[in-house]
Amino acid sequence: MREELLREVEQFLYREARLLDERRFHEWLGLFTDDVRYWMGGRSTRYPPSSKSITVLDRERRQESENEDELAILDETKTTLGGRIARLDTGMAWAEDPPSRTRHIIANVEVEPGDTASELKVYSNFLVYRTRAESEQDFYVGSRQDVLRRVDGAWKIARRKLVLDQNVLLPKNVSIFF
Amino acid sequence: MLVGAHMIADPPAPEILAHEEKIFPEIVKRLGPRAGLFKPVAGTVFPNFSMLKPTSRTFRVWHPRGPDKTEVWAWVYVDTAAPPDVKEAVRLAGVRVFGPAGVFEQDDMDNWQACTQTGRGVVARRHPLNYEMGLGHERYDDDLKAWASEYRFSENNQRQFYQRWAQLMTAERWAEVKS
Repeated sequence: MREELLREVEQFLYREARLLDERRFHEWLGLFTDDVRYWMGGRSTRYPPSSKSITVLDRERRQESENEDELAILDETKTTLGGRIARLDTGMAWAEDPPSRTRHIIANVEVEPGDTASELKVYSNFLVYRTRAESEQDFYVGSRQDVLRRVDGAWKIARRKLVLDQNVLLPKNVSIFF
Repeated sequence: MLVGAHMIADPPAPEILAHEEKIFPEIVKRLGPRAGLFKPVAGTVFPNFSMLKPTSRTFRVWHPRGPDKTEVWAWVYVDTAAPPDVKEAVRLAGVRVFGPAGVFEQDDMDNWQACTQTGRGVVARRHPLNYEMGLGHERYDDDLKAWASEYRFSENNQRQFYQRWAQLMTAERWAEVKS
């Protein structure tokens, strides 16, 4: 993978993170393709495959991540992401009033060729710090698998899969974007 | 264009409503005519099993975790005989509306936390909570075999809940507690 392409993708992801931290959500939404699927799941505590515990009875129970057709934390289209952003403008989005202050740290960026010539597979890790009101604070940590697509000369996010590392979500809610 | 929570959350997906309308005669056949007398939005089977069905179809169990903490376990339920598009609509409504990131649930978590904090305040502690809404407008419905309010919104359920709680807390032995 060419060095300049890697830099370009990294800069795209960092700029995207800055848009979120500066709450420029409408501009952020513009970074997605119309057919995007934006999905976030969690991970479960499971015995390892080598375990001699009861998992020998049910191999499926070793699976740490949720399937994408099961319940998730987020499973959004561009329309429903737009609805969430429009909701923030209504003055009645109480979980974000006063708003969260976020800091998105994006790291471990890897770029691979995509399924088509105009697409890239991009892996990254995120560490998102959220603080709100007087003393609330949360960490959201996990991995991202993106598909970036070149549309009219600009990169757009065509697929985003987010996996949080926590088994039980420790923050009280998820009212921010990743 | 103004787009809010209603766009993704309310009313329920048409395929969910159509399916429930279709199976309704069978529900009444199996459970009897009482099933057709009320359309609950939310309800609790005393003391901690609740259901909620304005958009998705969920039930939840409230686990007390000390004087100022409650842990909520929530499930989304779906008719196993429902067609795939109905199941998918229920799943998506569950995620988008009443999951941890749901457009309603994220606010509720904040509300419940704020209620708990406010209830501990000096001024809040001086006053009993007021549960008078709809007081005197409830009646025992013989067909429903349950207490009902004349109003769409009332605190009749809350009064019933705490009356039952008070009965159980003050009774000396089981025989004193009305079933």
